[in-house]
Amino acid sequence: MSDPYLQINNLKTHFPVEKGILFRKVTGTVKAVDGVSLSLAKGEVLGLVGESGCGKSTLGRTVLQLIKPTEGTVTLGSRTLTDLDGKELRSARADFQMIFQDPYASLNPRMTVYSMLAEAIQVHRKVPKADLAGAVGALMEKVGLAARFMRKYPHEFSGGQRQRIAIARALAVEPKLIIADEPVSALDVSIQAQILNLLSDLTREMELTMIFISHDLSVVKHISDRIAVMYLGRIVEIGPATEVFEHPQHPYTKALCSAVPMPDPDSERTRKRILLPGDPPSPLNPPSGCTFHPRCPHAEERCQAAWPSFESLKNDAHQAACVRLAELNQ
Amino acid sequence: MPLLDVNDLTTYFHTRNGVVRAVDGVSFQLEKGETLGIVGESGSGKSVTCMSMLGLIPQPPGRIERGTAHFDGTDLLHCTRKELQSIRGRRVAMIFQDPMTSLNPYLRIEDQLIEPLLIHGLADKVSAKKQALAMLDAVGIQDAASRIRGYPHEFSGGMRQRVMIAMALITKPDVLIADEPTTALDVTVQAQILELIKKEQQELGTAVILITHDLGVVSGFCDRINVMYGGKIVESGPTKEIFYNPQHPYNRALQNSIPALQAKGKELYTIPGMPPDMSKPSAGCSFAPRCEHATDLCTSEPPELQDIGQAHTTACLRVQRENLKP
Amino acid sequence: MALAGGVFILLLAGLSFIGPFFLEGDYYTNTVLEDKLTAPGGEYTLGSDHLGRDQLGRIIKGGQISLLVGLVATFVSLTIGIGYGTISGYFGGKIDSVMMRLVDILYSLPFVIFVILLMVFAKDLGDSIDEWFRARGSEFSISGQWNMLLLFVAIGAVEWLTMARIVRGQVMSLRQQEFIEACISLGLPTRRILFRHMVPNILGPVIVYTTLTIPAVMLLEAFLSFLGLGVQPPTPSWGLLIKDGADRMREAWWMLVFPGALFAITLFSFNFVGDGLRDALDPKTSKD
Repeated sequence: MSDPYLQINNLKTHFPVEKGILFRKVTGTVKAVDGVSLSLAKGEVLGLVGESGCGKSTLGRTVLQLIKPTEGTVTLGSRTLTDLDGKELRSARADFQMIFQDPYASLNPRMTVYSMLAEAIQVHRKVPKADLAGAVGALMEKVGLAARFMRKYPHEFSGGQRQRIAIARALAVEPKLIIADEPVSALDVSIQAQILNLLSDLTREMELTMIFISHDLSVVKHISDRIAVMYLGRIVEIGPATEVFEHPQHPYTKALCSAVPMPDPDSERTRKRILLPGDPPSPLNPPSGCTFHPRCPHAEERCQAAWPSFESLKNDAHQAACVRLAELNQ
Repeated sequence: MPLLDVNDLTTYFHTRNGVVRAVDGVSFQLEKGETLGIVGESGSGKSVTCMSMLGLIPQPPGRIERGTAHFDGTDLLHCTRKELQSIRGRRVAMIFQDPMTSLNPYLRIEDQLIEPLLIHGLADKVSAKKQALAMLDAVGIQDAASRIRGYPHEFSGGMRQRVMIAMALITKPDVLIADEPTTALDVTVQAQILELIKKEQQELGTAVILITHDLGVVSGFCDRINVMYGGKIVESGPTKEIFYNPQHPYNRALQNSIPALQAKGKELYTIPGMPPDMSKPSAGCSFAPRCEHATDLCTSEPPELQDIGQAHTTACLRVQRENLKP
Repeated sequence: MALAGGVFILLLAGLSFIGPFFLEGDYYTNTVLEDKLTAPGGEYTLGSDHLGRDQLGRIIKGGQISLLVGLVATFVSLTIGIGYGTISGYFGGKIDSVMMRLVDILYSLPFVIFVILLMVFAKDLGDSIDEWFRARGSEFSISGQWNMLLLFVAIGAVEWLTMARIVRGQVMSLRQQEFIEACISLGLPTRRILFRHMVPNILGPVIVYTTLTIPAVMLLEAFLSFLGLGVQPPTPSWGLLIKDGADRMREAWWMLVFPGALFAITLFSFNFVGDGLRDALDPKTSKD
């Protein structure tokens, strides 16, 4: 891999659980993100997969400094984002943007598309007033919306169109890094494909580096170069997209892949499904050692001892954190 | 005679912005013990269809304009309130999408479980409690004897959906309507819940109607599938026919646009345009504006479902008349 | 409906504030004892009261006072409430805890005692300010308006608490919305997020509450005047007129019916205007 453009180093985001009305007492810690290290090359798309509560959204928000990390660093290009504060951070935000899940909540209902996009364009750049309408129009066309709709309010658009507006707003500041948090899961299937195509076209054209967060493995597989699988605040497996999807190594990834229902009646009726018992545990009191061990069909006593380190089998780019990795993947 | 025979069901919502034709002439049958999938995008009328049958449409603004829904000899749409109540929850049960809000947070699980039995007079309190415990055990809640005294908030999402299933099945209904039962759940939990519904269905011989937007979920689960678009059934047939021999252009386009079925890196197939505005009636086929095969005929003449063999029906004029091939 | 309400309020305001210029200076205090309790019609259009004062004139003056109290006190509570609530809700955490505990403490003070204390102590203050001016040879006197001023302060000081709570709740739930996160992520300055993105989105409930506050304030004024703490006779307010009218309901129905009806219509109008404003400000409903 070429020089990493985005480097995330041992990132931890812990939330104190407080009780009491006047004098708050910390009664516990939710370890939403618990020691994640990642690096992305420029222009790379990383898919981040995991179930609800695994910390994938928190990780995205921590990388973008919307939540302050408890520990660890995030470096984008030559700048360490975790060291920035106040004004510096605000001006640095031009480089990294977020696309949100719910296009109904991510647009201010009382602003027209024009004022929303014009505001975004002007945050970090000086644009003469006369040129603004042209810039907004160009931005709208880039995401596949007709410029003549710019005086409309968000509620006059459909879900897919709203998501396009949200994407346009994120692109307005000309970012280098985009974190897309479940950008298609609130949309209908036929609209999902449109947005996925748009995102992959844009990343290619603008050389965007992107982290694509989703719970849907098949969507992630389609758009990403690499996939990272998260479970309870940690990454358990990472590797090239097709390889992770087709030959998963970690027991959790295996179960996840087998649980995804395929729209193919024959294979759906014949294939063997790994059914995991129970629900994902709460990050408030995570199990000891490998946090997956209570649900893992292959767990042994040593799984409870310590968090396993990453290992590779054939391909160095494909890593998984499981003590029994070699024996389970013979 | 089918267990449930829905004929020309039409439900409109009369809103400030005009008449929304949510369900527009839907007909289908459900046999005993069968599993029927109703697939469609949001606003296609799949939920409203089932809510109409059970009298769960808020009226006004909703109104059932016409049609019948015969369940075991009773027309659910025209029977008395009392008749409907004796069927609903006892012989036809329903589970909803969101397990977090469909249980009453102030009542113990036990009290909610035995309620359907007591209401319908199927058991006294003692035996109802016994049945509730057995049912909770059957849906895979560990340590059921002590959990049954708990409150909903002590249960996780997947567990609550299990409780909902137990509640729906405790009266041993003939039909279970599951409206997006796994949409709010994680994939690994979704797999558990689907497996559970299947198991219970086989034991009790219940017929299931599964409403979902996820083609993946119905493919392994259902015997037959109705594909809905714009308030109408556009294609209906055995699961394999729907997936391996799709005829209606909407069904074809839908399957083509699923990322899971397409090679990586390839541009995804997309259906142009947007779902139809249900408050504006279209003269012809409601999919015509987005259909790549549409002709003048499609925009002027409304299509009807027609048999094209193998119990497969489709509502596309071009398929019916010219044998349009993929 | 909203339009009719608005027109009515404008007419009323015009009558109350501009009307007096065309009347004699003592239009509401001119006492003609022989004419007391004259029925409506004739010389007194709306009748006269128990001291033979023209009821129409008193209603006009009373409207002036009531509207002024209602609008000014509501405006005061609106400004403090929105500012306070927005800041408290947006920053959250410790700032929010401290700010909201303060509100709770103020809430827990019995309102009447609070106002009585304020009125009693501040009355002396007004006198001493006058004293201070007189000592320097100035003719300036404040004690004439002092009571009104105090009334605004007292009512405003109480009414903003609820407003602040409503605003805070709204802001807290808005803060969770993704579009606010998007603003932060864009790097917008906090001030802009607060006043360009937050405040317009909380206007709906705020306007509804405001239209409820204006009548509440007018009632409060009537209550305080009744206790002798608000507007001082012979200056009338609608509250005082209604009270006087209620005392003489049997002998002179016009003393109760006219101010009462006017008061009720005004309150209705404010409500209609509020509903209309809320719809007009919401882009979602403006089109259909």
